[in-house]
Amino acid sequence: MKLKDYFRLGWDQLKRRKVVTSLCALGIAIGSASIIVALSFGESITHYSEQQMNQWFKMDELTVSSGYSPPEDGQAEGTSVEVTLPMLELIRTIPGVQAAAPFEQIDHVSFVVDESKNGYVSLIATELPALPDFGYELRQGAITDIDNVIILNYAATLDIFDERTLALSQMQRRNNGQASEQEPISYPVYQKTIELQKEIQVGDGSIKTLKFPLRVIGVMARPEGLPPSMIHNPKIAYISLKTANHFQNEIAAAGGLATSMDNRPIQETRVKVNDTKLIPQIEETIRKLKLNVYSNLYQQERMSEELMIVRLVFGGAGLFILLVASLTIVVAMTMATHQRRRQIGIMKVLGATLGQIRNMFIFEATLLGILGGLLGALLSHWVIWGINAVVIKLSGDGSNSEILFISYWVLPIGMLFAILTGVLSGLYPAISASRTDALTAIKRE
Amino acid sequence: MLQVEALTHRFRNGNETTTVLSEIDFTVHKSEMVALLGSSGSGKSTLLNLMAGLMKPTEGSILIDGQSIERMSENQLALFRRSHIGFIFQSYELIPHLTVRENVELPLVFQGLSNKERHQRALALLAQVGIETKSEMFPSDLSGGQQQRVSIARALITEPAIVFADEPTGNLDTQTEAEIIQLLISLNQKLGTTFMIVTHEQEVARHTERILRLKDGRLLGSEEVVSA
Repeated sequence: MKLKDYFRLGWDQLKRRKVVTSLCALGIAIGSASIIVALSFGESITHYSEQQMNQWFKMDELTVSSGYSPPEDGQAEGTSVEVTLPMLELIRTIPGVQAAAPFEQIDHVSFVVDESKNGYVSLIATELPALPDFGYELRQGAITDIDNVIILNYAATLDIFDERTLALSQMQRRNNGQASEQEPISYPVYQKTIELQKEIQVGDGSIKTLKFPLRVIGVMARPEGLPPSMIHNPKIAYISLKTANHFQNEIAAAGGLATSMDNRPIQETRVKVNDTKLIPQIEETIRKLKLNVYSNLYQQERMSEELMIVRLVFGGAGLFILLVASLTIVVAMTMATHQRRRQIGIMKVLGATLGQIRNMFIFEATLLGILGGLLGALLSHWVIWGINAVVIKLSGDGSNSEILFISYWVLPIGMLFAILTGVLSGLYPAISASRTDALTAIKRE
Repeated sequence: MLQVEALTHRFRNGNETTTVLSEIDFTVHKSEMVALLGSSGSGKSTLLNLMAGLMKPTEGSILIDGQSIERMSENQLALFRRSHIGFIFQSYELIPHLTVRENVELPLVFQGLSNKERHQRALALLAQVGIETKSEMFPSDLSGGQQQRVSIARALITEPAIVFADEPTGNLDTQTEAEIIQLLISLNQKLGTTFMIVTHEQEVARHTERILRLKDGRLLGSEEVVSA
């Protein structure tokens, strides 16, 4: 018997029993759609969470700080191992390291721009040309390796007010009781000189304000996917290591200290890697240099465990629905077998073998599975589309980016489950049909 | 062509055993048209089922085309029936959702023949039984006589060695009965197919070449029919 004859006879039977076919196909469709949605949900949430974690926890970065070398033979005490510029160069040569640069928290300072507008930032010293390697993008300006310049992140350009406007703004916030959902306006600071201000207690106990002017050569882009209420912080400004030393030397001098901050070791270094999978290996190599190193990989592991539970719950629900659907098919097809006993008997008398009768029923069930699978794929797209529409509407951050998506590998899996359900649930009715006694079937009615 | 030797068949009902066929011996030759005549309960249906391989005899043997069928497995019998035996049923037994042509083609579908060859053979046979114009109709659109013609065409499509017809005119009126008998006679003469017609009607049996009379499970004898 040819394959197309199995197909034709099977399709014929499905067409004849439209209601039963529709119900069985719908059952499989709901089951396979659940599995597709479950897998897509897991996949999308993992992708989204990784994106978010990368944004907040920098999953592809390691933090390196000075370490400790235990005492060797003949030594009473161990020695401290500092991160120096040659050490940094060495780290950069480790395979898988994309960039390495110092990121040192210098101070928390306020600043004045346009003579009367005040803001505040957390000051970080780094190698400015390395910023793009760490994923920082500028919306204004360009990065150059010169001194006495500053680059502000987007949040640092917000909430820059004169004293009166600041008071009004704070009052407004208190009255509203919550953060505004309106997009805040970035203050134009690009190419302007801002004056960092630091209050220092001098020897006689009086307070002196140190003023340190810097030119803004760049403003970073607004972080993507965050609602307006979440973009106000953290307010960060980046300066070169040399400028940082200069700033700190001035503070020391103003405080009556003669300490120079030049040539001091790097306190904290960030290392960006090409692939998060390489992190444990790179971590190990850096540890061999007797330096302290830590990553946020444990966050990812913790999240993976939590997401696995979500996936299992959804997948389990999908499988349960498929199980129920397969029972429906078993019942429907067993009923069909009984209804078609006479027909099966005639076919056997006409020369159909056990295998041919069995295959006819399995083919019919497979077609039912394919039909259910196709319907399931369609259904899952509608569900994902619906969830995305709701999420976009509820998020209200103005972005149209869809969180849930169906990966190319998920659809074949959903289809496979649907066909498997069809085939497996068609097995018993098929075997039962093939065992129908031709003589009894013909005699019965 | 068909050789039945010392065929005995018993049914067991609890501790009781009933002999329905006893020591049946006969031979049907190639291209012969034979009637198996007997009243209800004579055992003719049991004999037909045994000859068709739908039941296994208690004793004796059945040879069709030189092959003994009583020891064949279910699958072997299906394959044997497919190529050696044709069936005509009293109530036609057509598949209602298949067209006339598709019903006739069905045995060839199990043989795995190509679409084209199946179509050609089915249409040629439908022309021979006189309903070629009904080929795309469904059985429910046809009269009883026309449905039996379809059943005859289906029985002959595989060019079987022998065709068993179980009360082929049992559901038909007198005029249609005569037409069907005439059709079977003409096909027997034209195609040379061996026919065994199982009937309880003397009127039907007398159109065949030879009558095998069966009574209470015993073969009373074989008598040649003298044509008028």
